[in-house]
Amino acid sequence: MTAHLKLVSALPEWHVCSDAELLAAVAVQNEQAFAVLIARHYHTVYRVAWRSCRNTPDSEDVTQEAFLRLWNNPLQLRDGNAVKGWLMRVASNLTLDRFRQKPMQDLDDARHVADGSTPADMSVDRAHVTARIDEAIAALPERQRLALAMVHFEQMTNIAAAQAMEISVDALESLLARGRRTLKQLLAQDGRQLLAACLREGE
Amino acid sequence: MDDKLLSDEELDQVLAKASNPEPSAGFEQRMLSRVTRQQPAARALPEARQGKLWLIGLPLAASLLVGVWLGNTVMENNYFTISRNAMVSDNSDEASDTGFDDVAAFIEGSST
Repeated sequence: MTAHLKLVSALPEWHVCSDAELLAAVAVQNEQAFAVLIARHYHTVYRVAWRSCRNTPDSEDVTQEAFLRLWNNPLQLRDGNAVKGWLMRVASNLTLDRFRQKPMQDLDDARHVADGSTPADMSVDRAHVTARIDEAIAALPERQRLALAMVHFEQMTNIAAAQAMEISVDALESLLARGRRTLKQLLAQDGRQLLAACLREGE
Repeated sequence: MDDKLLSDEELDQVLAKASNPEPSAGFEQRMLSRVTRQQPAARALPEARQGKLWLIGLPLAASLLVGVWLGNTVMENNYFTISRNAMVSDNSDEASDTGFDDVAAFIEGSST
């Protein structure tokens, strides 16, 4: 009994461990440590995948594939504390590969993309506003979208996002600026209408 | 055209209305079980390869050793023969320099 208690007390509290410590444990196939890594990051990875796929099955597949790569080869990460950024980058690349593999399906899905010809007097509900914004984000070039997702939606610092994307901070800021400019152009047709709907909802 | 474009503040207001998607219920557990289930196939492979490497590596190493040993023996046996041949070659009267200068003796179009 005493020996058992000693063993239990010797086990690390995985939830308080850093990503680097968890990664080291994953390298020796510790499933508990991997479960904590999943719990810590799967929402973020899923959202990054969803920004491109915009459907649950594909986004879940991409998320799972990203974690599978981590599980199969955890030592490929040079910086153990960069797990989140690494997973996001892998997910982004995987969605890109997925689109390359089945472009026709994506064209079929594109029928839902708004062409900006919404009548001015049409009432814009929340679902339409959200869908239109999501479409515009999904239409961004991959790297601009990833930069925006990291900094704007996941609240990563510019330095952390730049490290995750393996680019300089200047390059990241350039991507962000171009991404925002592209978004403004994509929303040029109905941006004011969307903004008005956002403001109405906020009142 | 620029009047139509949103300002930075307006864009932030619009982006705040973007979706905040969540995976389906139970996804975390499903993913954990699926990923860790692939452990034997994914990680046993290198060990299997290591076993195969030994099977191939041992005969190769033995062949290499035999090759080196034979090579040394042959080199020792042929050392004097090679040296003698080299001396004969150096002393050969028939050996003559050939080079670009010899081309001058060649008449273009000559069949002889």
